[in-house]
Amino acid sequence: MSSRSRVVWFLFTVAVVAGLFSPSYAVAQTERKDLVIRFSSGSYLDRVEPDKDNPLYLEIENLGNRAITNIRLLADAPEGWLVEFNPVTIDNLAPGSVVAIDVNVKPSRAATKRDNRINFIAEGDGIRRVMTIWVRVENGPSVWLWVGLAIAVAVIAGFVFIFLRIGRQ
Amino acid sequence: MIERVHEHIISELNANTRTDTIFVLTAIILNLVSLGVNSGVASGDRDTTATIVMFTFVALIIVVNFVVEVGLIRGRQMRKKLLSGLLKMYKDQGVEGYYDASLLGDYRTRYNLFMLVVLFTGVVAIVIPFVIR
Repeated sequence: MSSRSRVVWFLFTVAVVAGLFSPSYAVAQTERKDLVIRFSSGSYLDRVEPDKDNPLYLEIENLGNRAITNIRLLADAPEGWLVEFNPVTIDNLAPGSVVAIDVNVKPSRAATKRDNRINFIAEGDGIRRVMTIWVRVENGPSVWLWVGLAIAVAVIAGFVFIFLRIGRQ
Repeated sequence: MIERVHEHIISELNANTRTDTIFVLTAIILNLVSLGVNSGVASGDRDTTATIVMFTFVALIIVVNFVVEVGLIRGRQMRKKLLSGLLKMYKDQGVEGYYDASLLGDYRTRYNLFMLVVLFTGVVAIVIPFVIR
């Protein structure tokens, strides 16, 4: 073998060894669990009506390189609100897989007209992800309306009082 | 001398009219401007800053409207006193038949209507933004 061939073989060997034990290779081999909850394409919810079904479509995707098992779907919503998932559980979500979730949000009849926070929670073995959305209740009785009316009544009463008190002097 | 007094009373009545006009116009314009600003704020972001701005304008509306109401009541009383003196003067001069005493009652009604307009626009300027919010 010529000295030139030896050099070529040496460089090739070094390159192969470096490739095998490089950091990127080591990281790619680690177990990684990652999950994401997001709106399905074209689906969005920012306004809801009290005591009515408000459908919403979500997706759960496994972004890791290991399957995630026993995923449960939960919701943290204002008191009296009903949040239903279909399906409620996912037994096994393979890496790269996406599962569509039908969600129904039903605010309570007495839900006030304001922004309300809903947390959608996905809990699997060894992983937990939360997605937060804000929805505004429409057509509900507003607290601010009563505040405005109370101020208006107080102003009218003050006007009448001043009118009677000073007007008779 | 009586002519000087007559001129003085007329001058006071003119000043009184100007002051009351300014009061009424200021209150109505401020109420309408506040209505616009607060409605815009109420339909926007519902954060703490917006709430503070809204309540600041509500406080401004209340204060200005009460000042205007008191000003109009005082203006009405002042006009009544001036016209009463004028009527007495006309009576002493024997020309009271040219000035109808019922004008005093008409002025009272007019002032009450001015105050009603101010009050109503004020109430609208307060309530509408809260309805929008």
